[in-house]
Amino acid sequence: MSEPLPPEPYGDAALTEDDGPQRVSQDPAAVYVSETEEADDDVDS
Amino acid sequence: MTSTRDRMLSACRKHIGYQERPDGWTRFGQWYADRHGNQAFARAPWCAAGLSYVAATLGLGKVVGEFAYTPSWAAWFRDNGRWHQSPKAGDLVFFDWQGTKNIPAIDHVGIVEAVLRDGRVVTIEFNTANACMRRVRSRATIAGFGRPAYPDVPVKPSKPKPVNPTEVAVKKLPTLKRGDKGWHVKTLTYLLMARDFAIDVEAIDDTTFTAYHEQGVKGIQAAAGIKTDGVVGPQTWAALLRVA
Repeated sequence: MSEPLPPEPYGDAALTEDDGPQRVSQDPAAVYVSETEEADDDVDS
Repeated sequence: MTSTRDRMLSACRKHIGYQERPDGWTRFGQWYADRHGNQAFARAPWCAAGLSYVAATLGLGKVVGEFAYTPSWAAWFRDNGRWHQSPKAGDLVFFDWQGTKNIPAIDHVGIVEAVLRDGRVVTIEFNTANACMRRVRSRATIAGFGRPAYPDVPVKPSKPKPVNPTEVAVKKLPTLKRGDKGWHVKTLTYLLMARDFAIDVEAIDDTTFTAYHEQGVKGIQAAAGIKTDGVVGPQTWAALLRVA
C-alpha cells in the first residue's frame, strides 16, 4: 500500500498564544543549546 | 567532537530560510517523490519530507526514519518504543493542532533544537508558513516526541596526519643508479660510509655512482630486507637514513 500524502493544512504556521513571541533567530548559523537534558523514559507504547 | 545528533541539527539549520515555490514544489518533496515513485509528493506538504531528506543525506535514514505522512512516522516511533512525552534536543516533535495526543490526528513535524526552562521547545520546522524556520512551541499542540536512536559513536572531525619532515625529505630524493652523477651521489657516498661500508673516497669520484656504491647499496638493502637491486629509491634512502 502506498503512503498517503501528508495531511493539510500545512502551510499555516499554526502558532498559538501559548507558543509566545517568536524571538528566535532565523539565521542558519545561529545555534540554540538545550537547557535541560534530563533522561526521559516515559514511553507510550 | 560532533555527535550524530548534532550533525542532524546542524544539517537542518542550513535549510532555515528555504521557501517553497508558488506552486508548492520543493526540492525535498521532489527528492521524496523520486525515491518513492509518486510525483504527487513533489508538491505535497513537506515538513516530513524535509527532515527525511536531511536524515538520508547524513546516512541516518534508518535511525531517524523516512516518511512524508506524519501519523505514520509517529506510529513508527511508537512501535519501536521511542515515543516520549518529554523532549530532548534532536527529538522529532509531532504536532496536532487540535491539541490531542492521538497519533492519527497528527498534522505536522519538526525537530527539537533546544528545550527552554519553561518547558517550551525551540524547533526547526520545514514547511511552516511555506518555509523552513525556527519556532518556539508550547506543549499545547504537541502530541509527542519521537526519539531517534542516534548512534553513540561520536564523529570526530578528521585530523590531518602529522607531517614527518624526514619522510617528506626522503620522498624528494631522486632515484640513483650506477652511472648517475651529482651531489645526491655524494650524499649517498657519505651515508654508505656512515653505515660502515668502506669506500676509499681518495680513490673514487664521490659524486659518481660507481660499482663500489652499487655494492654498498646492495649490502644496505639486504640488511634492511628490501629488494637488492643496487638502485637507490625511497625504500633504500629510508634505510640509509634509518627512518624505515
